[in-house]
Amino acid sequence: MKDKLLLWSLACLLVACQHKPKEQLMVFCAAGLSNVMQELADSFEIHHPSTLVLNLASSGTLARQMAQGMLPDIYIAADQQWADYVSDLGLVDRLNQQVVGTNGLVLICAVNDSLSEADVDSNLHLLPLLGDFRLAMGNPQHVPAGRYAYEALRSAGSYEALADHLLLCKDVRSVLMCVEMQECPLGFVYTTDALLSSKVKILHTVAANTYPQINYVASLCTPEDAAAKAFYDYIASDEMAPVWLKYGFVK
Amino acid sequence: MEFFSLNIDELNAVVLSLKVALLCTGISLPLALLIGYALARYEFAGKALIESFMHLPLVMPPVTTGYLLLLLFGSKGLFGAYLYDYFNIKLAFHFGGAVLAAVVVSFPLMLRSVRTAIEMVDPGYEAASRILGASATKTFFRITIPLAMPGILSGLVLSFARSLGEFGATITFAGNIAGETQTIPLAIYSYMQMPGYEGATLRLAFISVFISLVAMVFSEYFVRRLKKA
Repeated sequence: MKDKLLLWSLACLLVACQHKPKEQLMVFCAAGLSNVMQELADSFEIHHPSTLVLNLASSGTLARQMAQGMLPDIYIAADQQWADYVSDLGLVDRLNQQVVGTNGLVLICAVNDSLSEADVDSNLHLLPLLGDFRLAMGNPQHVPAGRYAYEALRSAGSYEALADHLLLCKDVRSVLMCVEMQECPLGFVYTTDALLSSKVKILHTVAANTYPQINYVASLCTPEDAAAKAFYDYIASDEMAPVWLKYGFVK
Repeated sequence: MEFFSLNIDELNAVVLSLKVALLCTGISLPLALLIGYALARYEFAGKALIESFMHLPLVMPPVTTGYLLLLLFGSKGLFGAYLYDYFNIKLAFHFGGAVLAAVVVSFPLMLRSVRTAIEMVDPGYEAASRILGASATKTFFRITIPLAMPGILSGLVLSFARSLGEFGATITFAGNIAGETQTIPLAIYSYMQMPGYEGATLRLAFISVFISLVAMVFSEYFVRRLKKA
């Protein structure tokens, strides 16, 4: 009985192997792009025979997986630094990298908070607004959104005063959650994150010239693969610009 | 030797971890003895429900535990709001929060061992002690606890080790604030995110292995001594 079962499963395995698998494209993508990338992938799959497999995580985690030998077809980083990291490792040719979208940085508070735009000046004197709570932002040492916030605070000259009143989170979503749950009265997140949540409101849009441009950089790791190249061009094409805009990204 | 010299953040993480783990075991022990005794010796309505509830953190993803803690003990949470408004106690994103997260997550481990250990104690000895005139409290401390000691000790070590390794609930409920709530696992996590911190990561990993090993050896030693006696 056991032998028969084994034979059967072997036979099934052989039959299964004869089916040539549909071409799979592995896309490593910064988690902040999950919704826009899902929509782009779905519409791409309608017109092309390939299936897309999305691996969503923080840019740094993905870059490290690549450094360990897990090479995807396309890698989309949430900032230039991690894109440079993989090209410096020789995993991608710089010629096969392009900016596919940009984002903005905003200061948010809970939607029912009494604060208004007038309470925030362009020098970001936020300490009086915090009380004895903390300002939530990504950890600038490894969260891109945190680094942009850090740069913005530095150029406004208010970082020193706030340094001991920060809650450095592990990613932007944690910042959003802290502000949503009112554990922190204020937080720095991307424009797109602020638009996604109905529990927060944008208190202040940080002046774009106070921090480096927030670029989403796509890297084409397997340029010899036609389908990978097609998707790489597809997400950056003008026809797809409305999809990016829909989620608050700027093309 | 230079490899083993810690910078201030790493040292903070180690000291903080020990503080959290020791406080956590200190808080858990009396609770586990009381509840463990009640569960082992008495039958009451809703016992199964209470037991399952206490063991929840053992099977739930720690992040979920952290999230629930935030809902309950956050500064706008169900109980947290009262603690903050009336006593000015803030747990979320403070040291106390790290301890609370560690207690909640590691308590079931201690409770299980303590309860089983007390169940193994022959109630005949307790009865004899009572007949000979000792009070219930005295019997508990002089008969039940010493006889259950090996199990209590192994529960202590388990919960100490678990609280030392607690990550998910802590980062969600207490955050990752250097010197305040950044214990060894959280520091390791942060260092792993940054290029060029491989040395620091490895150092802290070694230290956590070392601390856990020492704790295990101690408990083995005590258990053996108790068994001989």
